[in-house]
Amino acid sequence: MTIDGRATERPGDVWGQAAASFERWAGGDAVALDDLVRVMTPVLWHVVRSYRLSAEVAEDVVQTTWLALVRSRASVQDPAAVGGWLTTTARREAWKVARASGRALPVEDDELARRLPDEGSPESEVVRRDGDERLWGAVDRLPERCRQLLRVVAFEHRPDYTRIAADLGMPVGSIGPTRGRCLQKLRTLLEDGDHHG
Amino acid sequence: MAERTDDELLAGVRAFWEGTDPVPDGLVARVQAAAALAASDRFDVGLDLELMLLVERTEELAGTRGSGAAAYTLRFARDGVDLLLRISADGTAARIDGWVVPPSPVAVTVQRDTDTTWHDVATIEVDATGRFELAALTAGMLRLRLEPNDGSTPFQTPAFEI
Repeated sequence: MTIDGRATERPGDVWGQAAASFERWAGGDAVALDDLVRVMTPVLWHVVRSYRLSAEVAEDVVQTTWLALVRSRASVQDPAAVGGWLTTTARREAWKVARASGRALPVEDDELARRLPDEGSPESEVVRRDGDERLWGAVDRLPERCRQLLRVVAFEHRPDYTRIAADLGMPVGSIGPTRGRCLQKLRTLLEDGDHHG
Repeated sequence: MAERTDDELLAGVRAFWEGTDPVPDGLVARVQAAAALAASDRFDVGLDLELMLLVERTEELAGTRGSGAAAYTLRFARDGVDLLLRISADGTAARIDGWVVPPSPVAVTVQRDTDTTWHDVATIEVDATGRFELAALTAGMLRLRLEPNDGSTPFQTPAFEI
């Protein structure tokens, strides 16, 4: 587990920390940029990886996103918007790269092969900081489509459904209900786990 | 047990992904370095470099994954200048075939990341064809700096790994 990982924090808190760091950075504190990178990089990693990019390509996309922010710092008028600016930019970049390499997201459920990361630390080494193994197991048993959608929204603060819908090839009106159904499915799996596990 | 709130479930989703697909070791540090450099390039007029952005990356050899690819292509762009790089491995060493578009005479300097700083590995004068090649490179983090012969602003790529 990396010491940088903050992904289990609530996105709202992460966004708030990002806003504060960005404000200090824009005010001339060069070190604050390091804080901003530390706070938001885990979020960007998960947003980009939900586009099924290899770890290496995902890293490039994350880096490109940060360089874009540095380059167009002035275009972020409101520090509170920096989190959304970063995830939107990362999403757009990931989509572009995925499409360029012929990895555009499949649309149909049955085309989605279950895919656990082939890189990164094996699960056995993972410190499950929240200690919630049952919930973990339930997420693992979710249909791929649900896991993917929930990954996209879980790391976002006030997710932009319009963009997510376009990226996932789903009607915009269906994202909210689908998210609700996926969360309900997760509850059901948890209950099953409670009965059988 | 009590039914969990959406927030609790989403926190579980985050924990799951954080565990099964964690942020790669060193990514934050690498990005911090690149961002700090870009920021200093950007705001330190003494350096006056234009930072190119990676706009495309393609891998050859279908079926290979990530670093297993034998060759891949990177395209960097900035202000109408494109830099295409094909990076290929031949046994123990890697080579870069590069192409500046539109073709123009530039000096290309290869810089390698050491733990503390970037140091120059080689400089090649590229003629009007815009093509250049670098062979026998050992693996590591590199970046390229392009200095146009007409004295216009130099360009620099973000770091990339070979």
